[in-house]
Amino acid sequence: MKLLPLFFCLLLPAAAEKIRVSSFSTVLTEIAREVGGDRVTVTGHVRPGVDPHEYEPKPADLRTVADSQLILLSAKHMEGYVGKLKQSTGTKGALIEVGDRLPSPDADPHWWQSVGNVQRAVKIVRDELTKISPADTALFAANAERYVARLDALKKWTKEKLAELPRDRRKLVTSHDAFQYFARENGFTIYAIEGVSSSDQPSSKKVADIVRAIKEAGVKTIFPESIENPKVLKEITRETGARVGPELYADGLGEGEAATYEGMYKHNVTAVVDALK
Amino acid sequence: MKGSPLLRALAAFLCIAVLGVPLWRLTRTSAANGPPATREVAAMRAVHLALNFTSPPTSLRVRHLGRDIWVDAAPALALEKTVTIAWPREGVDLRFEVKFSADAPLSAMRVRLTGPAGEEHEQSAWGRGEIDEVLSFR
Repeated sequence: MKLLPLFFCLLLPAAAEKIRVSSFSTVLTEIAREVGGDRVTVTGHVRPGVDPHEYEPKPADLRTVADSQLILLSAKHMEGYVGKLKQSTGTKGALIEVGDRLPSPDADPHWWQSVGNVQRAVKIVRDELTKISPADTALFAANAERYVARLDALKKWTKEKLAELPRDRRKLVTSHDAFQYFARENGFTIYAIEGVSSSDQPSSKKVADIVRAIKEAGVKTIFPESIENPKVLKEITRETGARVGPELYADGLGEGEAATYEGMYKHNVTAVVDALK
Repeated sequence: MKGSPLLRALAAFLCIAVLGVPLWRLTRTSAANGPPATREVAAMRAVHLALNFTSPPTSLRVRHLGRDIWVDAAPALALEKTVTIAWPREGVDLRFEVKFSADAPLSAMRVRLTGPAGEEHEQSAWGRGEIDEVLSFR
């Protein structure tokens, strides 16, 4: 009987040990922290403002991954190093390619530009954390429900803000093709200068086509991105007379007001509506 | 034409330089300003709105592009109005703000919009105490 307190003392560190999560997406880092709360330690390998298309994991990242119980990836070919993660770390953690589990008919990997997709991603992360720690099922469910409710409020806010913008002005010219989900969810037509990756460079024919499309559609404003060099955009504005609008966050969270998903999304919506209306 | 070939070549070069510089400036300025992008403006058209409620509302406000197009401080269970708004072929979004009495049950609003060409669109929204909803008509 005297050994009973000692037995509980031995159990205590195991019970209090946090779930180790590695994330290669700023949006998934936020989701894991929101859903996991105090029960998780999340390492965000891709920092806010870093271009995930260009990111390559360093040896320290691989060591962290090797020790993680859950590894979250954007997927949809965003992380070209996914094979290296599996092979070189020998991790026994669950490697979850979130984007591949979402209903997304096209090649655009920027699934977080749809709030609905982020809500689905929250449920995926909740389920994976629950598998690792069934004892925390209720906590993860409550945290996920609260976060999804906030995202519902974000959807409502977005609809109200977009109602200020006539539907015939919902034409979005961006530097790389990262807003297909945003466009589909909110009734926009997209004219992208580059491909779905920020490293894709536009040909002179593509630039000429975009210039013609901008003139035909009567687009007054085109949008650079937080990470992108807007050199080509400037050339197009010179040709079309359109002005350069505020920067949009295409590849994930940024800093300041864009440090949270809600802040990032509101920044983008406000920038688009105020510039086009 | 008389004169040495060298002199003639020099004269030709000077002519090209004198005419070419302003021509280059002219085309460069034109590219820098660019032709202005033209935007087709949606025509203002009359559309008819008919609303039905399952509980009597205490106030109604309908907004289009952030502007009030219909305000009623004492609306009936069924009401209608013709409003004139910009009607692009991509459709319109209307924001409906309806308030009900505090003890009203979960209430529904049905909106029937008749477009300029006589086409009909129907939408509905639900709320307890109030409805604040953007409805799209396309």
